[in-house]
Amino acid sequence: MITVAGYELDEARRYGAEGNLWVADVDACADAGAIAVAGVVRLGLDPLGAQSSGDIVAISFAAVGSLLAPRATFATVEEAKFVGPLRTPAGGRLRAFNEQALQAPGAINADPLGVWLVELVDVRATELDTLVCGEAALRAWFERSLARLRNEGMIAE
Amino acid sequence: MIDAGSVSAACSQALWHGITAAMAPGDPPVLSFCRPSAPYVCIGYHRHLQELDLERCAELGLPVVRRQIGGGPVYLDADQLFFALSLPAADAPVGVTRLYEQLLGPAVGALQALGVDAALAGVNDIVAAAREVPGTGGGGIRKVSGTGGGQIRKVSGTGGGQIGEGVVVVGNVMFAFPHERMAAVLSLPDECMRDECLELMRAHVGALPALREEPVKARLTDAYAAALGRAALSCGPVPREGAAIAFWERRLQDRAWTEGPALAPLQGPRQVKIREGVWCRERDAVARTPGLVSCS
Repeated sequence: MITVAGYELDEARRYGAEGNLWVADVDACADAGAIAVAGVVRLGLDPLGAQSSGDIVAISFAAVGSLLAPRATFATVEEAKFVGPLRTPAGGRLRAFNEQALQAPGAINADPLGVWLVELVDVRATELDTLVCGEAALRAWFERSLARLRNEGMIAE
Repeated sequence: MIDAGSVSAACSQALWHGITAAMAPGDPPVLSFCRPSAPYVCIGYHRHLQELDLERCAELGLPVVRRQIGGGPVYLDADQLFFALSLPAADAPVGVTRLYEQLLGPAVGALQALGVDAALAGVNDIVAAAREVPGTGGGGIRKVSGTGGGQIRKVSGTGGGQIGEGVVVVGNVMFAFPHERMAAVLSLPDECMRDECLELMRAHVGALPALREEPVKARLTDAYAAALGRAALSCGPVPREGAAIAFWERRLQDRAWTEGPALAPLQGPRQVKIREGVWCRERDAVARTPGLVSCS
């Protein structure tokens, strides 16, 4: 784990620059190993994604078995007073969603790195390669994201 | 500006779902209006159908429509004017509080221009100080501007969300509101909680019977045009909006859609939100009824 501006991040994961989502190999969630180049991955909100979403009161997921293109909606999340989509940074087939997130959506805010949302299979390595990874790139991207969200008033200084 | 006039229940929701879903980056914002030609019940995306007494809805001939945005069950009918502002997501104010402040502010201003002492309460309730108007069925209120007295009531229900590449904020202006019907369609543990809900709705949800539809639409159009710095252009849906509206009209009547997504089961005592900061809770209803253990 690394700390950037007070936020903990797992440098073994990749991150979708647009939606503040992390992408990790299923095994990497358990042992922090290197991400697979393709295969089964899990998606979740990174700490900025969780914080900027506000208090999540409900989440629902696309149907298991759905074939999702990059930027397709894999979940619909409801914070207080607003409902919006979560979009996958990489395409794949939705294999499973996390029942814990469905049952207790507040856990996503409480532990964004620990609560995965969906598992995708048949993810293309070329799409994973477009995600942010590696400590230096991760630090630079995350600091830019934080500055943007603070500038937009989404996150307090 | 698109004014669809009086439309079916499904179309009254499909209109703004479709316009928003059809939004593309760079598109101009669209203010839409409609009124449902027949009453129905509408429920938020992440809410259980079990919150409704579906048998009672059927008896009353009320279809149930699930919307893509949030919030609890609401009774909607021809005495309500719906307005919705749809705009590209990239152009929407960032953050829920700012979104509602900026996109409901014009609606509040329009009501104020019509003599209603309207204000935004909480995040997204539009309320007005009011007094009872005799002969309006108990639900009617008329704002007495500048008196500073009177009960604060919700006069417009609103919500917001992102659909596709568009963001929408939708609301209604209630010219009348049948509190009894609203209370009747809820699934509640007993009749004393229904009575409690009804009492709280009468106290905290009101209507604006002195207003008329055309002036309200005119003021809303002017207010949003001014806020957005644009001239209002009245038109019909462009083809891609029309196609999206038709798609949503089918979807909103699809049984699987109405059933809704998989959700966590309902837990805890039943509670009904009346307006921002006002709840009717199962335990409270029982506790406030002297000598009552349970009405059921």
